[in-house]
Amino acid sequence: MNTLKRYQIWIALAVLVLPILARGLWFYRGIPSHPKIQAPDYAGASIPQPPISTAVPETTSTLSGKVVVLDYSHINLYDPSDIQAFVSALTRRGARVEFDNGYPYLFDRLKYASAYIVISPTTTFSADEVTLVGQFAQRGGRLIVFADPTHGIYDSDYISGNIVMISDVNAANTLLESFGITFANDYLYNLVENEGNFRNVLFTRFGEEALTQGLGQVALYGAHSVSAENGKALIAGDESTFSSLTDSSKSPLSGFGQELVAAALSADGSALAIGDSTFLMPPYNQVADNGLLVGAIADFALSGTRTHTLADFPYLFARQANLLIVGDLQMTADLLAPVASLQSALQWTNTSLLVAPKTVSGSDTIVLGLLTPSDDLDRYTNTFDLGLEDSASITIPGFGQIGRPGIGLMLYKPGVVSNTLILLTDLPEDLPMLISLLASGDMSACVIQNNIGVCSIGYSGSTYDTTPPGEELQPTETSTPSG
Amino acid sequence: MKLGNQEITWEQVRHILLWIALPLIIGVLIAAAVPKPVIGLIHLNDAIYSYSAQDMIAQINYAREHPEVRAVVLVMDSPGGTVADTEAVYLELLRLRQAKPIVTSVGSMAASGAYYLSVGSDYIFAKPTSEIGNIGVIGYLPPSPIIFEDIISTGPYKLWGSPRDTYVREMEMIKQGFYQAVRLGRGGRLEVGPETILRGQIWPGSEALRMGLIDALGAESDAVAKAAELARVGHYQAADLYDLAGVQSSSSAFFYQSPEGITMPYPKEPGLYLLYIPPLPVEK
Repeated sequence: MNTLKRYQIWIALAVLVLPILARGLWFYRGIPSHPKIQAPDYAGASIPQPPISTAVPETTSTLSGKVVVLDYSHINLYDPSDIQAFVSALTRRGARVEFDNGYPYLFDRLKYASAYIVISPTTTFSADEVTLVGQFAQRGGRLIVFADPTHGIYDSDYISGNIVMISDVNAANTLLESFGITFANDYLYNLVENEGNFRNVLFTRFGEEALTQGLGQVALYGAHSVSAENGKALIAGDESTFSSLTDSSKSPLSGFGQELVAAALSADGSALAIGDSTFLMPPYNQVADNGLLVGAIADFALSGTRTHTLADFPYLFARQANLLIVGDLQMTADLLAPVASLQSALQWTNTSLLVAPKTVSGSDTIVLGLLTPSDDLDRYTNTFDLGLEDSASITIPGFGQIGRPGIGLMLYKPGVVSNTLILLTDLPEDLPMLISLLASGDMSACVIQNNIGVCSIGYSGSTYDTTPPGEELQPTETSTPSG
Repeated sequence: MKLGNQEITWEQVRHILLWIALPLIIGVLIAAAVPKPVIGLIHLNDAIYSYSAQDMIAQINYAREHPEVRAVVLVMDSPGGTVADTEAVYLELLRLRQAKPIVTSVGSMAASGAYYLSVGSDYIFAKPTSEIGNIGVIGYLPPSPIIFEDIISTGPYKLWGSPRDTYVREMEMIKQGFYQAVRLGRGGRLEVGPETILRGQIWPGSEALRMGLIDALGAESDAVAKAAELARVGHYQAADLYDLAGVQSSSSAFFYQSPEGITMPYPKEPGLYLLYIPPLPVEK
């Protein structure tokens, strides 16, 4: 009986469970597995810190006395206060910094400047400006151009309403073209290793130049890539540095797979192009070796040795100049007024002009004389190989034979220790005019070839009434066409 | 009583009823109480910001607390949103995922923060042209600190939040967290490295599949079926958790509205975002 009961209980239980089991199995096909879920290590994340600055206090003690002109006349996208650290680096080296806002003209500023620095221009340079800067660089001036992809003008297109972005690259390239340097309208980035953001690229590859000496790591904060034909790459990216134009580590400006470069020097070493200017500004100038680079750029700006030509007057003399009269010429009342204006013109350049009875060794000299051969004069003009023997004309290298009447000659002789400017006319009456021309700075009446200027000055003397009395030209008969 | 040629007594009938029919009825009644499994659907058709995040978290909590919800399908169509709200939803999703499988079905877009949430699921479906990715952070830099004559604060960044430079670095830290989430979520399924993923690019679904950013191309119903498979359920009902959780709808405008009433694709307030902002037309 007990056994029967036990069976009955088991059957009852089985019957009870069966529908539950059936429904359960209808819905559920097994026990789901639960993978181990891991959350990101948020607590272990930290804010990336910039590389430690290696900048050391500068010990520069030599005062250069040179002038650096900073372009501010091409709608440049920077604020002078932004680059104060760079300006300070220049002034610590004894340079005087001038911001060129259009007046005085660049033509005049580059006569005395040692370096011309352009930062993010947005209006193009004229052909005249390009020529001027090219000549400036040929004569020992330094050109430094910064562009920056984070600088640009955003405007709205009047018709479409689209946002228009004006980059600094186009304007900068008009100036750099003649130096064989081109900025790409891109930005460099590095996703693998960077300075807090993909567009802040750390550079460790440097070309061997004075500009990069001692650099171990430099951070640029949004940089255009640069291409320099036959030039020198100064700061180059590694294989994980990409250009935004190609998303690759090859230069977008070259079809030959050249590396990406953020700073380059022209082939002749006179022009430097850097694709970033943010690193000049605090706090970025204090990251890694950026401070060192800023100092090196300041050194580069002042490293040129300017050679002057006559066209650079009145910036030909760096010290006191002595006025010397040679040959048969004598100081007269006619000469005093022009000499005084010459003195005034030179005062603008902090050069004092003193009349001296004889040559002062090691001093700059302005020589006044006549176009007649003399031992005194020959001492100054022998290097120019002038032919003064003919009474009707003179021979000037590069110009050939030129008639004497109405001619004024300016000869500039730069020297290692001192410079000499020689002013010569055929007649003493013409000399005041030549001096006045020079003092006014208006050389439009002069043909200047390197250091020789030939001027037409014939107002007071020889161009008028140069024919001896009694030898006036008589009218001659001419045949009348027949018929 | 006769059953065939066998005589069944009432005593025996009583026994059968007592020991078979009654337990069967009780068993059927108990079985009826076994709930039909639910595949819960959580929709995100908006940016991720405080209100939408609260709604999602309420639904996630419901799914976690209700055993009949055997799996969850995130139906995603979002450009992302704020950093903190995205992280809040993501962490809740991870908690849920420890108990129940989660599958994502991407509609037209799972960008930035929305993709952040997607990698918190076990499996991701998308359409061939769904927009996937945009992994990264975006933000507006605070102004450079200045002082005013009439506004006094007790520290240089009381007014500005943080230095501009630090702000950039914070973004990098957030990005690393995002990348870690992608790496942990996708694991060995990722076919590309950080140099590709962290470009912030947005890819079509088919390309995202090749890169291992998603698992399959498919419809929402495929996602529901996959969720059921992962939850090991054979027969189920798919139900919108928004209704089941009784979420009280509340919202505020996240995107900037122009004075003309046009909704722009960027947020109305400055800040840090895991957000895809479609490119504004820019001419060079």
